[in-house]
Amino acid sequence: MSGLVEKSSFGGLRKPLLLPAWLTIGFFLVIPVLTMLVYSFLTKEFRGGVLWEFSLAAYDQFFFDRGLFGDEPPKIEWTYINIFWRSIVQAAVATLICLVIGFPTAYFIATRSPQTRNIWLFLITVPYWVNLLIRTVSMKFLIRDTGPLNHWLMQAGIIDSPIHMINTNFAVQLGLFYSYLPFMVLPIYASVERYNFSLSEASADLYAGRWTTLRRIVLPSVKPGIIAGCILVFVPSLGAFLAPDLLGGAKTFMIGTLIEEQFKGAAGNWPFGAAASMLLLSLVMVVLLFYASSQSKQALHH
Amino acid sequence: MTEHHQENVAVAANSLFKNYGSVEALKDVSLSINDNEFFTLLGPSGCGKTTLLRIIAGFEAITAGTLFLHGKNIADLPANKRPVNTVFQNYSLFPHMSVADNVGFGLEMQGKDKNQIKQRTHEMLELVQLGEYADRKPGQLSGGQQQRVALARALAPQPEVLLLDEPLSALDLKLRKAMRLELKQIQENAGITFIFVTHDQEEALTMSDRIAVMSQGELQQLGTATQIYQEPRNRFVADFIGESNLIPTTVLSSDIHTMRCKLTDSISIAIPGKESVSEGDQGELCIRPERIRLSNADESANLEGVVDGIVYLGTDTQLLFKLDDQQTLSVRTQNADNDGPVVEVGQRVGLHIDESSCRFLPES
Repeated sequence: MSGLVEKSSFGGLRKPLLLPAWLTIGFFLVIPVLTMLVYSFLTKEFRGGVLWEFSLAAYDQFFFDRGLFGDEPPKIEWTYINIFWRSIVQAAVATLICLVIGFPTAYFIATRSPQTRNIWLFLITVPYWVNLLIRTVSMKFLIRDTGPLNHWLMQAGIIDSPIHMINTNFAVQLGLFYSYLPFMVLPIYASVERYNFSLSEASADLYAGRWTTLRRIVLPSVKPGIIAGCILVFVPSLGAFLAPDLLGGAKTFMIGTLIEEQFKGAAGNWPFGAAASMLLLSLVMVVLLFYASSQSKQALHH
Repeated sequence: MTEHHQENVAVAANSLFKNYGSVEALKDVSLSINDNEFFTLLGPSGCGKTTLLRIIAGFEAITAGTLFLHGKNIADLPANKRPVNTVFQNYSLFPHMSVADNVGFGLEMQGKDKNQIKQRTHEMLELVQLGEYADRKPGQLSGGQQQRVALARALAPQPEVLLLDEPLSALDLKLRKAMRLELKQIQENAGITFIFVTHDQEEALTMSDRIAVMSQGELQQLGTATQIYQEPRNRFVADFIGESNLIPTTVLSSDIHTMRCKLTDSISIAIPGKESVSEGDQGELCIRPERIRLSNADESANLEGVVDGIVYLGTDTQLLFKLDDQQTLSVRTQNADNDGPVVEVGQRVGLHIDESSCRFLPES
């Protein structure tokens, strides 16, 4: 039906009008990803870059340990799998924290009067006018041992000696949370704003308490916004390298940092970085496919 | 509480006030609604009828006054603790739940066991003739069917009072008329007090045991359909319920039985008397258009007018007359007995006003 409308209203102009979209997707998505894919199957050149020889070495290095000289029988290499696993856990925790704090925030904003809503949304987005790098460095300054946070806590008499926060998981989580909170708040806000609040009244009218109404009526109604928010936080958190790099230490090494290092300086390994990127991309695709299938199942029910 | 509870009173509201900031939505509203009554709150939009309904449901807090449900003070009870249920204007069915889950929701929240819920849900869906739609989602039903689900959902927990917020306004005319009779029947069978909010006077007149006419946050008149139509208490009620000719008048003489009121400069009519009205009072005469006859043939005419307009309305014809002092008078004649005088624009015609049906409305 909608296809018919589009065809008839744009006629022969339809293809030229779609051209910018196709060009954008081609230049910024298809070509870079294909380049990475090709690089991941090439041979490493020692001062960075690649040699045009087909090789599975990058993937082999990721999954298998063949000893220092590569002549021992292959064992599973856990280092990188662990880094991946740790990244997934970090990203999941960051997503959960963003959700727990972002949902009430979004709900609060959506239930304000229409005039004040814009002010609240504006306040949420103000920090994002500052570059991510600068924000992350500021966070480092804020939470370091001699930083203002520890200073205030000690002055207030809550703690005696500074809490060591920098280079911990906590610091990385704080950085991720601060970086991606709006990506959780905005989609949830959009769906709560569309939510018909008379459904909550109907629920209360039918003897449901506030928590039951939230769980049984509100959450299912705003689920698309919650899922979108979770994906928007989880995916970039998974590949984030600024927060883990600046706020974390060796123990919080994540995929993003691993990949970044492969392309930085002479010590890098481009095919290996490309392979790790492709594996990360596959992981993200799995998450998105899972989401898409859950959406289409819902669509079938409606 | 000093309130003395009467046996058959379901809802008793006393001096209710509701302010939204500086806006007074309800001003000193007192009324009591009886058990098993079909009670209608009627008025134009913004008159406070929906506010009153939402106050009874528990969605709005009262600014001042008392509110009793079967003798129990419910003013401070949250909505989910009040044994009343609501049929919402736009139904507010839960879109992610099946029809059966919607209807069973209230019962589930009351902590009824699964079998009971299943049985009662089934009963309710049969009552509204939607038995085979139990597994559908609300979005798959028509407006009329959704309306029935909303009704079944609100009736399922057996509320003490059922509140209906303009439930028919989203339906088309034919369906609306059919639903009126059905609602009335369901109310009689269920034996539950219905409080029905509407701006549609026809809906109010056809279904209600009693009607409360509201305007600008105030209760204008409370009575049966016949009472508010035949004995409107003030200009607003006379104008809002049905059609009426409202003619400025002065009382020429008055006793308990009759009073004589000026109609035009030269003509006066004698209408039923009213207490607390005395000679010289200013006000308006309320004359229903269907209480005026054309009477060229006989001698009963009590005034004359010139035909100014003719509007054919199917079952009726509306005739507009200009009286000698330029006052306009609307007359309705039924087309069934159309062997009477057929008139033309510009023709001078004798008119007979049924004086006993006219009312004097004092200036407020």
